[in-house]
Amino acid sequence: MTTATSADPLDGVRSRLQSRALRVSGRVGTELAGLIAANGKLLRARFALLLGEALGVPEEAREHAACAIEWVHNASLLHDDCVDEATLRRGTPTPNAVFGRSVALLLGDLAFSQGLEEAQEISQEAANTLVSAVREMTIGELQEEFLRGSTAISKEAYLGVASRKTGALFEWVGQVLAGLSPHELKDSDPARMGLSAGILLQVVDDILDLSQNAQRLGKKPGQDIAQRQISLPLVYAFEDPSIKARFEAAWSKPGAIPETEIAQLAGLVMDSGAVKKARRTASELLASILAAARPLPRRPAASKLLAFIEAMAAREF
Amino acid sequence: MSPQELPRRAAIRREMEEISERESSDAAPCLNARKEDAMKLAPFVKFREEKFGAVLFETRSEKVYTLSPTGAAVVREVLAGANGADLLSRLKAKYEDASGRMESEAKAFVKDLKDKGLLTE
Repeated sequence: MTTATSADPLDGVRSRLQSRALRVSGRVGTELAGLIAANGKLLRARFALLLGEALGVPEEAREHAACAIEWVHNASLLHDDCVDEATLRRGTPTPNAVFGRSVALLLGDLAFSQGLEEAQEISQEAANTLVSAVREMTIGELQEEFLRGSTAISKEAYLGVASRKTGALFEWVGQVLAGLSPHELKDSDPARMGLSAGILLQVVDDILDLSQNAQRLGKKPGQDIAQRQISLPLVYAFEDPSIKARFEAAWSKPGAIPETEIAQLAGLVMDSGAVKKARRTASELLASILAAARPLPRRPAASKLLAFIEAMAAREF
Repeated sequence: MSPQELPRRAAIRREMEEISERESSDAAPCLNARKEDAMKLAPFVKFREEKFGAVLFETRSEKVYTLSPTGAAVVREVLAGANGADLLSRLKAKYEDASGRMESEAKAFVKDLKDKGLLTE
């Protein structure tokens, strides 16, 4: 009797992440090396692997692309947790909470360098364009940071910030994989498809921050409100002048916003229909991605990619 | 944050609100891409309405193309989902063009963008 086994395509990515972390573990120790390679849902890696397969990119190259995007994403998470002073990530204490801000920042820098090295395994051009993508991502993060407390942002401006902050890395992976495809990609636009997927991921995160409980989310809900951070549901909610005024009053007070007030503000946003509007925008983005994926050359893999993106849009944690 | 830093932070926030509005078209192609016949800016081409006028910015080569007012109007319609067939009628509905000059400028501009690889259909 033979046993059919189906290897998880992410095993290769996990193994490469660990292997690269091992290279520095002799210098920084196994615990810190493990922190830079810590991986969660690997959504970006899955996206890269499936898109690469749909484009006919050889397995090794798509794994390098998947690892590069995960390394840079991990770097940004390590830095984000410092910026947000977050104490929990994926249900476990953050490195900044355990070791302090300086260590977490340095770990983020190390993770970023690992991502660049991984991109160099693809080509020098891939590494060069990754630098541009990181520039856009960082500009998006700076814009978001300095828009904290703003109630005067349009939906378009918000989505523009998201396109840089979250979309740029996905756009990069789409561009790199398109360049590695043996097919002529006359009608498809993997870079823009990636950009749309990145924005969609951000919008879904925004919605979950308001609509999920702490257990499912792995962190406290309402963090965007607590951090005075713009999100798509909030942008929609600010169309109601009375809600906008409540937020302006809460956000202009110095110091932390009390938990009870965060819950009240979250309730106002939920009751306003803003989350429904944000879900509609997510559906529009999804429709755009589905249309862009139709001309991808390898149909069975393209179907898997679409199913994954639909699941990503519908995820609850 | 010290009380002295608050006005400085507020000033940067106001500037950032202006910047993010100027860069607000970056996500537009993602929302219009599902319209299969829509014209699209090529990947990595961004539209910016700067204080001195509108530009197209190719982020990989970092080339900047300054646009005429007609050029800017064309790109705005492209970002709003115009296709080759309805672009001119959309422009005519918004702008006075008794002489037909805007129409001929818009046609030449679209051809130029396509020739430079900045616009796809």
